Amino acid sequence: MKASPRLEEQFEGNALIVKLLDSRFDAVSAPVVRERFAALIGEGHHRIAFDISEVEFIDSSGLSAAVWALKRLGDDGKLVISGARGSVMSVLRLTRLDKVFRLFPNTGMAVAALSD
Amino acid sequence: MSNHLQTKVSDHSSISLRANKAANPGRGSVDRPGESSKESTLRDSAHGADLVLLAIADSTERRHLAKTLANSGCEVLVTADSRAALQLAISEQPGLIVLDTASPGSDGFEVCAELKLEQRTRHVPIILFSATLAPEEKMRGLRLGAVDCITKPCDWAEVAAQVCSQLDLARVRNELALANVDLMAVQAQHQAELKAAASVQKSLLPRQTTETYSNLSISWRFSPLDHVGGDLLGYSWLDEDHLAAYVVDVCGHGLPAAMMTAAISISLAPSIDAGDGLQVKQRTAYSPKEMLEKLDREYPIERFDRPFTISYFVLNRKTGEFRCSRAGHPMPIIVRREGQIESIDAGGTMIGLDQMLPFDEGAGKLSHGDSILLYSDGVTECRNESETYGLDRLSSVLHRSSGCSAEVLCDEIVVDLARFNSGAVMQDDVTILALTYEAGLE
Repeated sequence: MKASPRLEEQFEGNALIVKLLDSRFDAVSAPVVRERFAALIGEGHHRIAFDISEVEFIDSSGLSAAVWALKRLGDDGKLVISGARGSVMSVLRLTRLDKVFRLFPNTGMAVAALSD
Repeated sequence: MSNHLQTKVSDHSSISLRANKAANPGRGSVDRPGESSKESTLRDSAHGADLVLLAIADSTERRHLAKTLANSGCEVLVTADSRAALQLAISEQPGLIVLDTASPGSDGFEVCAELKLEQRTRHVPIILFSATLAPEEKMRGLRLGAVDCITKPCDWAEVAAQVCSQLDLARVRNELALANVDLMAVQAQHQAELKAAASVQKSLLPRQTTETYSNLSISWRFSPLDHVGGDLLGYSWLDEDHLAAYVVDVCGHGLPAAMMTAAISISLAPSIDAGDGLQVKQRTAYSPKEMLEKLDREYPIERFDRPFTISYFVLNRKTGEFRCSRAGHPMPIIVRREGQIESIDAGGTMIGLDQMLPFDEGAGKLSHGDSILLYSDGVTECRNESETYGLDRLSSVLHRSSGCSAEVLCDEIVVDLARFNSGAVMQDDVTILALTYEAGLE
């Protein structure tokens, strides 16, 4: 059985960086990500940078989880995405989610945007 | 079956009456309706779990072992004749048999083989009991299916302990087998329900896969990954001149996604009940942008816990003019008769995000022999060992088939996908809807 996908979390200033350490953001990893975001948001974290620089493949389950987290955060929070590349970026463009999420090439810029 | 207690055994008798702890109701006699004989054998042996059949020639040995086992809490049935063991095993369904290999007049190994061949007793563990067991003999016994071999002289307490542990093992195996039978029944029911759901989902689709209406030909293909899927397609006439068509893709697979498609298909229906049996055409159905906005209001992500994508267009068959919009869905493709391929980007993001982005609307005009294609990403995201199918390959297929009927377009795509996949199982729901326009025909 495949091991659970891992998430790495670290603070920078008042922002939380959540990094998905799996190359696939799909039906297997999406529930884990969603659950973790639910817990983090529940704990009061409202400025989150989601680092997907390791992700090479994303499908509707992954998109669904990201979108769900964004909605859950609501107007009081900010969720931005960093490190989207290659086919992942294409999928975000096709689904117009590149207009829904603020996208940044790296976590540095993402965190800076969160601190505004 | 008699109930009275008797532990003394006579050398001439072949059966001794066992010490009954409790009556054993329904042993081997009551079958559950619909249960196979294998299943009822499993349940019967559960009843006889602590009954040990001893087929031992020497009366002293027989007595000793019977007593030790009875003290350990087993029910014991004894016989001096190993030939009788087969019949006794069938009728009494013991949890274990201790079988003497050298009974006078019969070969214990043969009896062991018979017991293992007989369908009603093959599940009963056998311990072979012998005076001299050379290693080849022990191997022979194990190969015939015995679980263990005991040589005499032996420590009766040790033998009893081995018997009890084999009984425990057999009990656990039996429980597992019964649980497995139950599980398979549950799975069979689940499959039957999925098939029923597939029929319901099929009823949401248009009646025929290919239809021709005066100057339009429409064709579609729908292949969910499992019996049911999260894709939906459809088309309907808003009036004499206007046709609306769509492909929907709900995030996820299986039954939950399929149920959501049923709800969405109702929202997309062109007519709504205005009361008193009056059916009114939805005004919003004429405008792709308004239809998507309506869906976005009706299906916030919290409603079904998932978003969906949709590509929707409305065509005027008299003029060839169309309007279209998409919500996070792959772009509709226009295939011009001469072979040019165009995609239309206009739209917004997935349905469910509460008007986070506005929906724009695109427009265009089909000329004679032009086609329009809607599809789900199961087509373009299809992967074989080395590459992804992709939009470029799809566009080549369409380019080659430009000017053809909708049916031919669909066939060509399906054939090329199969070629790409080398006949392997598809990884996602595959949904396509094609329309070819013939101008000037009424």
